Amino acid sequence: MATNLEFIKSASGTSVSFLDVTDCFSADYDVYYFSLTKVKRAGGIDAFVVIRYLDSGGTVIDQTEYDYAGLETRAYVGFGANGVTNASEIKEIAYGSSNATDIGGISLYVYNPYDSSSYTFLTSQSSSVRAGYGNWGSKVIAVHKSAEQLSGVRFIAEASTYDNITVNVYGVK
Amino acid sequence: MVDKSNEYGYVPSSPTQAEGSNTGIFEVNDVTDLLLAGQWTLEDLGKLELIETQTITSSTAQIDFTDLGTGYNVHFITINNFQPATDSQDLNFRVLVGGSVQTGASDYGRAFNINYSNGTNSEDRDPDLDRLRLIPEIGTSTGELANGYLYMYNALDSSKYTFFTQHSTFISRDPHYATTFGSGLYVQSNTLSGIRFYMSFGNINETEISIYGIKEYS
Repeated sequence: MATNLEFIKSASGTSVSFLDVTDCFSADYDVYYFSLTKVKRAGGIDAFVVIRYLDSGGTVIDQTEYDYAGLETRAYVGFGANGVTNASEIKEIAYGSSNATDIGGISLYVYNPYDSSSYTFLTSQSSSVRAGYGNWGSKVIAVHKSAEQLSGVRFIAEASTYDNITVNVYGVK
Repeated sequence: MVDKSNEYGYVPSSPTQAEGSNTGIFEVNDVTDLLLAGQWTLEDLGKLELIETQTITSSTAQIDFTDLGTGYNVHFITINNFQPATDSQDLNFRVLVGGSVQTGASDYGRAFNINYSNGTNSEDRDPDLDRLRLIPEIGTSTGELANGYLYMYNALDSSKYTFFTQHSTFISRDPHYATTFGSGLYVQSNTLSGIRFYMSFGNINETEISIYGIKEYS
């Protein structure tokens, strides 16, 4: 039974179009918690936080091996449901503007990434703010449909760059 | 602080040691020296740290958590076996700044989905609120309880809004089994001093609520 979180590593980037969190998966854990609280997008763009996995050699997986479904919960307009199969990335993780507070919180769980005999599953929830509109949130599920061992995660700034991004990774023990 | 260069070859200078960021090869006496110098940590870096649990067993107007700890970017709050004293009331919450409950008309925004076991679902959203709703229309009959969790982000950062994500499971007044999930926002850049849980009307009859800090490396 899981009894605690164990810190694995932290990764940060400044003025980057993506941040790779490398070598964070191992045989020590089946479930991983990613916490993001300090993410600031560069000016002028409202867009998604997108992720792709890194394979066992550290190469980004950009093939059409992802399915995902998400519900956008928006305080200012009706919610939006999106589902995509055979995608080359996982969108909807969060949505951010370039205002001072930007993307507030993302809690993301990854299941079985180091198990070469299993697909890798993901659940995620976010709360951010879209400048001039209000609260934007998402609840996302995703699967990487290739039974292979993964080594990390790439956090991509869709159509923009991150002024700052920090990711903390924990193993659920 | 510790210079053992002769045992491992020539090392021009030892790395600077500090609690939480020790680096190098250490013998037992090295660790002892660093502990005495306050340059070695015995803490587990990165873990769920319980700040406080409050247990309610009789009718209570509100539950205030006035200690959010220090240094946390993420708080994790669990709500266990929650039941209001009055049927069909909402579990709400507000934040405290400097010990004062924040009640401004546009201090908060929320957006969450409600799904019922009878197949219906609805959106609960509003960008301009004086409070945040966590779980709506909870029942009071036997077994009509609510359980769930809430993540709180950047509560201790004076330069950031405070963000929330939540997920609950409960039995409504109808009674229908139901869930809520979604997000919330305190739209002020403040350092919070606490969080208050209360009902839309009436009191809280029973629950156990715990607040944890997620310790980070930094």
